[in-house]
Amino acid sequence: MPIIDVKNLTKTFKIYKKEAGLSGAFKSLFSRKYEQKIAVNNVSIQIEEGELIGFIGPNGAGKTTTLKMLSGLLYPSEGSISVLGFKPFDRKKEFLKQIALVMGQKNQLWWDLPPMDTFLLNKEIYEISDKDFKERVEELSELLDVKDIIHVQVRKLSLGQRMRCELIAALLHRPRIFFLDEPTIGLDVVVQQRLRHFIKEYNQKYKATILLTSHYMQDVKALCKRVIVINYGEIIYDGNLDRLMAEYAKKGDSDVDDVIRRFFQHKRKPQP
Amino acid sequence: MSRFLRIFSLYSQHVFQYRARNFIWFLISFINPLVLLLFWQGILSKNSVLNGWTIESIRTYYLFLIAGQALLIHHVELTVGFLDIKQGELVRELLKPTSYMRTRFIAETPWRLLQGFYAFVSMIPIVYFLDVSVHISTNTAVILLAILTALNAFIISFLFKMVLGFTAFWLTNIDSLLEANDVLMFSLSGILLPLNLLPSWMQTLAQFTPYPYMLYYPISAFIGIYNTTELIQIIFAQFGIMAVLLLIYKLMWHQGLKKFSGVGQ
Repeated sequence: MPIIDVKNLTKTFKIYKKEAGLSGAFKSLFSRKYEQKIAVNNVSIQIEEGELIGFIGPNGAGKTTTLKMLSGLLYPSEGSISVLGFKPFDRKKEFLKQIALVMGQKNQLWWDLPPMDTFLLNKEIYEISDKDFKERVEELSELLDVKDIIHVQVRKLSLGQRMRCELIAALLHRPRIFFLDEPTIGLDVVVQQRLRHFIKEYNQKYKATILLTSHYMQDVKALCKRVIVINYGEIIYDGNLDRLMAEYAKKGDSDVDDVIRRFFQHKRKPQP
Repeated sequence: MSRFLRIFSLYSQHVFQYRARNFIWFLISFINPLVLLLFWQGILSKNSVLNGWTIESIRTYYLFLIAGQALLIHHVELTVGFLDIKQGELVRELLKPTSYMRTRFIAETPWRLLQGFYAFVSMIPIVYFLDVSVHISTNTAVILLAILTALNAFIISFLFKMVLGFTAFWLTNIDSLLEANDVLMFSLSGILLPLNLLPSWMQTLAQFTPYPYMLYYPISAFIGIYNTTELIQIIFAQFGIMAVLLLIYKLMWHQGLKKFSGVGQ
C-alpha cells in the first residue's frame, strides 16, 4: 500500500491582474480583474515507503505547490491526498509528528539565538526524550559536521551551515516522510555534495521516504532512481531516471541537464 | 519543569535578546498616560471631584494605566499579520504538531511580563517625584475580582489582536486597519479619559466593543470604583466577549488557511 497516494490533485490560485499605468491603478480602486491560475493540474502519484524520489521541473511548474499540499500547508482545490493514511490539511498531531518539510528559502531556526535553542524547542514540541535528543543531536551534528557551530548565533552562520542546522531541526523527531524543497539552493559544490551524501545515508539508515525537488540535476542524479517530471502543473514523466536518460540521451551524453532539457523540448506544450 | 514551562522559558530567552526594542515599545505605552497624568494634575484642584474622580483616584488611574498597557495589551497582530501571513512565516508553525494559538500565546506572554516589569520599575520614581498616593480598594473580594477582570482582559486582548492579524489573510495591507484600531483603542479603552468622563453616547458605544474590557474595567476595579455585584456583571460580559472572539477566531483561522498561499500573500 502506498505511503503517499494522490489522486487527481488540482490547485488553482486567484490572481489579481492590474492594468499598467495610472489609469489602471485608478480603475482598480473601483473594479478589479481576477483570473484563475492552475498551479497543479490533475496530478496523481503513488509513493511507497522508503523511496527517494526526485521531483523536477522548471520554475513555476508546480513542484513546491505539490509539496505544500502533501505536507498540509495548502488546501487542495480538487482531488484527494492520503499521506500515511491522513488527509494532510486536517493537520492532525499524529500526522505532523511523522513528517518534515525543509524549504531552501524558508527557515525555522531562530535568527538571534544559537541553533541549539531551536533544537531544544523542537525537542519539547515533538516530545522527544532527553536520551533520544542527546543521541540524535550528536549523530546528526556529526554527520553534517556542525558540532562546533550549534552554539553560535544563527545570524553569524553561513548559508551552508544554516542549511545543515535546518536539516537537524527538521529531523530530530525522525520523520517517516521527509519533503525537501531545493535544499541545495545557493550552496557551494562541497556543501552540496555533503548534503547529498547525508540525504542518501539518512534514507538508507532510517528507511525514510524522501521527496526531493531541486534545480540541480546533479542532486537528482546522485540520489534518485525514480523521478517525477512536472511542467505547467501536469506530470509528464513518472519513472526510472535511467530509462529517461536512455530515451533522451544522445550518444556520449553524460550530463543529465542536457537530457532533461531535451525531454522538455520534446514534451513542451504551448503556455496557457 | 513541565513541558509548557520549558517552551515558555525558551521563548523568554528569545525575548531577552531584544532589550532595546522592548524598552522603546514600553516607552510608547508609558508616555501617553504620563502626559495625561500631568494634565489632570494641572487642572484638578486638591478638593475637586469630577464624576466621582478625585485628584488621588485619577492619578492612581493613569499610574495603573501605565502598568495595564504594558502588561495587558498584546501586540501579536504585527507578528501574525505581517510576518506569519504576509511573509509566509506561518509555514513553519503549521508544520509543528502544536496549536498555533498556543504557540503565539506562549511566545507573546514573555513580552508582556518584561514590559510589565519595566512598568513597575518606572512607577517608583513617578510615585516618589509626583507625590502620588496610590488609591487602591481595601476590599479583599473586590481585589480578587479585579485580578480575575485583569486576567480576562489579558485573554480578550490576545484574542482580539489575533483576529486583527488574521485580516491579513484577505487584505493586501492591514496598516490602515491597525491604525484605525489604535484610534479606537485610545478613545474607547480608557486611555484618553476614564470611560465615565466621555459623552454618554460614546460610553454606550464602548460597551458594545471589547476596548473598555481590556483596560478601563480592570484598572477601575483595582481602584475600587465598582462594587462586587458590578464586577461580577463585568466579568460575565468579559466571558461573553471572549466567547464571541473565540468564535470569530475559529472561523477566520479555518477560512483564512484555505486562502493561505504559504509564500506570503
